[in-house]
Amino acid sequence: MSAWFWQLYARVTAFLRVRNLDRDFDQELESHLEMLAADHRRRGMPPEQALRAARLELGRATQLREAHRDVRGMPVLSAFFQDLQYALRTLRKSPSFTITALAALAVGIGATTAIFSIVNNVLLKPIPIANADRVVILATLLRDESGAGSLHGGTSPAKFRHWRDQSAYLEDISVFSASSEPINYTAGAIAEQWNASMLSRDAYRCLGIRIVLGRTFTPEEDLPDGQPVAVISEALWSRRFAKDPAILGRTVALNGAPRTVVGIAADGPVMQELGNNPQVYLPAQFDPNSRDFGSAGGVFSVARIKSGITLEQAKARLRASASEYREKFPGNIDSDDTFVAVPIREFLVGDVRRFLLILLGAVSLVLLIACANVASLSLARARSRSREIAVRTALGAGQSRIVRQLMTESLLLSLAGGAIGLALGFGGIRSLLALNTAHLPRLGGNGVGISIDWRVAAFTLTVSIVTGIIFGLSPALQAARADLNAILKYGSGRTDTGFRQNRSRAILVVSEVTLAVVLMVGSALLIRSFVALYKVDRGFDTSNVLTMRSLMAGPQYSKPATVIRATNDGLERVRALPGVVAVSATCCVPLEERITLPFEVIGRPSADPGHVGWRTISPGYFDVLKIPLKQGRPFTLRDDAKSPLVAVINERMAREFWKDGDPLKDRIVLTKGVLKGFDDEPARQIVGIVGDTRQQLNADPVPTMYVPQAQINDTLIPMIAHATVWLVRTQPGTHALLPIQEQLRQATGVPAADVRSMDEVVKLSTGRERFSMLVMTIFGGVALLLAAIGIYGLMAYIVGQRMHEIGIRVALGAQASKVRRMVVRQGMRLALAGVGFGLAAAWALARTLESLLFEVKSRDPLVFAVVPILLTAVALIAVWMPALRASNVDPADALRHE
Amino acid sequence: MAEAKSEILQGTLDLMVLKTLDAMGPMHGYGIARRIEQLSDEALCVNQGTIYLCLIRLMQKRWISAEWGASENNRKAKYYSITKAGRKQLAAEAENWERVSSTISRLLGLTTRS
Repeated sequence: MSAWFWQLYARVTAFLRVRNLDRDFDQELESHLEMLAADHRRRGMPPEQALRAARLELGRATQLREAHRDVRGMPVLSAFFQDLQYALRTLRKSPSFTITALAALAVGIGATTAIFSIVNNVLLKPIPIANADRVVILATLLRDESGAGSLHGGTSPAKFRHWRDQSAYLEDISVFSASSEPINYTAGAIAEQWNASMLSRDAYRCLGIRIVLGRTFTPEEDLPDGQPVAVISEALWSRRFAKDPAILGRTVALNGAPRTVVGIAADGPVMQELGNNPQVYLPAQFDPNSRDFGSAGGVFSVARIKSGITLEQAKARLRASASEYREKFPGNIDSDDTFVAVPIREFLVGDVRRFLLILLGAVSLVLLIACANVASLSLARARSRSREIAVRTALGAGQSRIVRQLMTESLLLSLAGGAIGLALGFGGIRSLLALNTAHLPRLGGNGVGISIDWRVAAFTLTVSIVTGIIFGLSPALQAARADLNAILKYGSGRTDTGFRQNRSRAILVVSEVTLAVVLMVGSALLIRSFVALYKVDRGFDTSNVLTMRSLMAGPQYSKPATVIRATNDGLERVRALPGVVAVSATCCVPLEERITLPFEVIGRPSADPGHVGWRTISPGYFDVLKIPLKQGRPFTLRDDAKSPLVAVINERMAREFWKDGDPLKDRIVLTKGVLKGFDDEPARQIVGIVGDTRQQLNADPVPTMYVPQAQINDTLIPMIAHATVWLVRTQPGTHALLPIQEQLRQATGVPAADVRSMDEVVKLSTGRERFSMLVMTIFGGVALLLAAIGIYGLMAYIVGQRMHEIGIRVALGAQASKVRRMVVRQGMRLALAGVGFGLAAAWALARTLESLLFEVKSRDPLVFAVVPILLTAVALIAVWMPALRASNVDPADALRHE
Repeated sequence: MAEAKSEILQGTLDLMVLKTLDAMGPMHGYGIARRIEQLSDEALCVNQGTIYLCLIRLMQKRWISAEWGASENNRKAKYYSITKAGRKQLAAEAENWERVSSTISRLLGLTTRS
């Protein structure tokens, strides 16, 4: 009915213009009164009497106005706005309460928002591919002796050949590299380094990489020795080529070889989630008849499950195909190894679910403490406001109206706290992730991928509202139920003495302390673990060591001898620089990269080849990292391609594989047929044994063999040359970086980039541990602070209430120290109860942290001793201040304030 | 005195106001109240204030409209007049009323006869 619509419309507009309409109505009533009075006068009434009679007849103006307003506007909303206005006014009137409550809420909600925004980004945000749940990564499940499996995603051309045959249930089967490698771009005077990733042609479709202009690779181009082509990224296109469409069909020189640009690709969202930001895509060009088992790091196979096939079916058929593969390529995968299809979400997210849930659990404890804190404050305030509320009740405000009013106040607080918290939490997590991303997936570099979307906004809003209800409801109900008579007669609060009337606040304070203990135990465990991680014997010295990287590629490096010559030249030049103590070239940055290969001892029956870490080094490596020589000799410059082939092993390798016998008398060789390039690796005489080094700080050292870089075979040279790592030890306090880079550039003709100190490398390698330690320490600190505020607030309040009583006690001769002791005892009873409960809860919960701990037991006695002592000490300070005030009470003063 | 006068239903009052405005043309609130009192021989008690609650309701439904003007003795007063939608509503309500009232009088007649 249109009449209904107009009525609603009129009510809404009237609600928005209350004041105007009130004036309008007043005028109307006024003229009504005058006319009525005039009529009365006409009938012979005296003027004053006429006016009074008119007033009587019309009814009470205020009531009439109220009724008129109710009919005219929206009474429920008006009441809400009244409540809101009133709430704002009262909150402004007690700034210390408002600020404390807001701060507690902002911290609690902010921390929760921060952690949730990570959870949202990593676990909840959809994968930016159409039908992402049907896109799978094809991987090998390797089983170790214990039967546990580890996923290996690396794809060799031979494996890809096999997987490409699985087209009965998979489509768009393709390979892509999840990381990019530097590639030199040269055009006349310009030389730049770009990042290149390789893809096979269907990977664009599978990974949702959109082609903006041009095309992807043709099948022919994706074959070995196909036309050299490239697709470039949109960002590079606009930065380097000013979005010139004529770039299509032009050739660019990449690593000295010309390639034709055939297409422009939009920046792939999946690539970004992998933290990969390639500027150039090159065809993978895998040989469809390959028997090559070598898999470069970070090359993965991806496919889409055909429609009509379930994930389980696809998984089962891929698993079954492993036996065919074994028949086709005997000895490449073990008999218990198998193939698996991993949904791309799982692949991107990895194993962080548990880690994130632990953080989410911890942060919800922080939020609970904040809630308890604000609830306790509100209770105290409700009590001191009981008189005001009683008056309002006496004047006719209904119970529900009082509750509604107080709830408006607490919701206003919690929403404001939530708004501040949202900003705080988001800013906080951004800056924390900028320090390090904790190896968390899907966050992009420095956490730039994290964003506030509707899920985070809705979460924060919900948390704010629920928080407001949690801390607001019980004080509101209590206030509304209060005994009007007693309050109005005796005034507020005088009758309270002990905990009986403050029981709810006491319970809140005890639970705050309990939760604080749990959080502090958690943060103390992680701090202990982090310290242990840094104190662990790494086996090498990282201070004053610089690492940098050169990409020796291009036609001038086509001959292995030139690579060796340039490397040696670079080493010599750097060694001659002042301030340089030692220098070495190697294949891999310690703590970051590793190559693990099977090997055999010559002359020993090779039942089961052992797996060892393998790295190429130049002489000086052990000096740079200060790795002690235990036996034999290190490499020298004379260990070159012409001299007898040698190797150095570490102690663990010696201990593990030479239980009896002298390793220095043996020769070792890499097992054949595993990786193509390594088949030419000859047997080597072991000439030295060095100390163990850790490859990961939180894992024991692994058996490792070192090989002189000058002695590796020609097929491996390009691989090493593509990523030569320079390690330089300088004297403390010297700033030799620029001359070092300059000398290396002169020696090799390519830039030495990617500079980091070894200390930075260590820091990066402990990113996850550092992140969880920082976050938990912040949580623990906040919890401690909030709990201390809680105890202080309650005790200060109780002392304030008992002033009168204490005054009498002192007047009657009680000693100051006795009064103080009384207050301290009362407060500490609460704190100690909380500590006790907290220790019990932490004892039960500590297990959940076990997966994050290193060399510290989850029930570490030191932690369980120090945390209660610390908390008790802080509680004592919080109790001492009110106690001191109590003991300084001047009885005359206290009694006068009747 | 109050018992002598019957309480009137909200809908009835609406109908009376609409009819008054329809018959008399634009009027102010006081005039409408007086008119209804007079017509009913003071038998119906309209608290004069209530007339305004009725008027605002009718305004909201756009059955009547209002305009400030000058009263007979040159005072500012708000004048209400019936709208087209109001006339339609009046016709419908009047018909409805006839039906209800004839039913009720028949019913009352029945009970007295027995």
